[in-house]
Amino acid sequence: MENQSAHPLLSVKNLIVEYPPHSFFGRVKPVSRRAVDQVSFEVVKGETLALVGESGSGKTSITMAILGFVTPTGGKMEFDGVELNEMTIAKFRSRIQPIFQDAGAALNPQMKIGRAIGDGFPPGLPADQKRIRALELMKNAGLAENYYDAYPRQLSGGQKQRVCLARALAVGAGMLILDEPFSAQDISIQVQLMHLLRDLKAALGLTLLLISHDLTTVRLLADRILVMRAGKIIESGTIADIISRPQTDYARELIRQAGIKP
Amino acid sequence: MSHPPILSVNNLNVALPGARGILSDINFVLPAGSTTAIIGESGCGKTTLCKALLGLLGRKFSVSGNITIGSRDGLNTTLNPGDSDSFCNLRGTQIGLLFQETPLTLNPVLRVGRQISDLFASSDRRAALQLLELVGFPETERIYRAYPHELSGGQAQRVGLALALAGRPEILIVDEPATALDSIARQDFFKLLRKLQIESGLTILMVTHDLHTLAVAADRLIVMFAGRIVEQGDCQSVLEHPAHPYTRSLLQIERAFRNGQWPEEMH
Repeated sequence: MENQSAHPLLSVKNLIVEYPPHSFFGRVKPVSRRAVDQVSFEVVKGETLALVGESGSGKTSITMAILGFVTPTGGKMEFDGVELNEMTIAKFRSRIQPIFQDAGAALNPQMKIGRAIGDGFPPGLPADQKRIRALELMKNAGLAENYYDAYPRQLSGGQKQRVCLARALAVGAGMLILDEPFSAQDISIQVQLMHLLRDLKAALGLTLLLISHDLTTVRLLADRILVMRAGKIIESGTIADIISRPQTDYARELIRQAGIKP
Repeated sequence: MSHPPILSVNNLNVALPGARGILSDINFVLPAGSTTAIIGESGCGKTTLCKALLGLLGRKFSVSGNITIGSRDGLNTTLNPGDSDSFCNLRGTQIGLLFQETPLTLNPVLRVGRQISDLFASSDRRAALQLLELVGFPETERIYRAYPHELSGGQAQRVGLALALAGRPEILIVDEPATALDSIARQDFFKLLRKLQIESGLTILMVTHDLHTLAVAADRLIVMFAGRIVEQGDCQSVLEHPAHPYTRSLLQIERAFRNGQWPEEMH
């Protein structure tokens, strides 16, 4: 349940994200597209909040706005009580880290795994310390020591996602934004990564914003769900509430399609 | 299944010279007018198998075994999957292919309609519009005039299907057709494939991860593990009585997910 007294780690108020009329070989589309329309929500420290909705509903646009990859047209975002704008987002990168669907694309193909993780540590940390701490993070993420000197191409998709998790933790982030972190993986790997995420969250008290269209996995990981459609939040509540008493036809359809038994 | 096979694969082996085999002892038939699903881990050879069926393996593999493909006029052709040229007259017209990432297969600077109508002699506009209607677009004119970037993932996938069906193939191979789609678009896509099959008697071979939709989307099921077929049969009976440990653990995970429980880790 939402704890009213707990102070939100991330708060988003009336967020609007619009993409400008784009030009395609000189043809300009007359209207801008509103991808996120007056969305407000809060993420409390230590909770896992899931954003659920079909492709194009605005889930990724919200994460891009929080991470500073797109500039919102309107609204206000606060992280730990400080307003997020272009200036402060760079500062907060050490506290919020993204995990993307395509782990392979998120890693530098020319950088060995050990360095990819080690570069996340604060500058000035001695090299031998970096190595020891990177190996420790790799162990926690379920990666064997011998991958320290491997290149990303030598790793499977699931292992690459583990590297991304270890790297985000090296930076010292207490909050992760995970955008479809499992959907590119085999189901057996999805299960492994879900276990890993659950264990890391419990051990480190991480706060998670999980973007997914897969209600079956969201249900196991999240405390609360926001259901999005066409840029708006149409329903929100605890997992149990939404699954047992969906308020909108869309949520009912999502539950039906996922084949979930309450 | 009482239907005669339209495609049979006999003792297919595919290997890279000097390495472990990629596909070993592959034997199966596709009954005409049915949907067969293939499931298996990444790297177990599903995509290599799809390529072999189209003669698209390339020269670097050593291939043995053969593939027999039936045709409309009842003639069977037996082909060596290592010989790409012998598939020339079949690709697109007898066997169609639909990939996972349709947006990548569309030309970004050409309108959708142009890309479809170019497949027909004299760039037949009517035929293209008919195909768009066939794959379930209500406003065919709008899609015809659209550029690929204006389509959603589900729409792009249906355009890909229209392209794959343009040569009126009897067999359609779909490699992970819905992985990139959200759950609602995914179900719509499987429903569309089923509808097309009922209307035209299409035979479908579908590589998929999606166990949940298997029961409604497929008649037969092939389970692959490490380059071999470890289990195959009627979809319903394989799902109810899985024989191989891999199939069993997959179903266990699936069942746990449906019931809101944490599945055990595999391996």
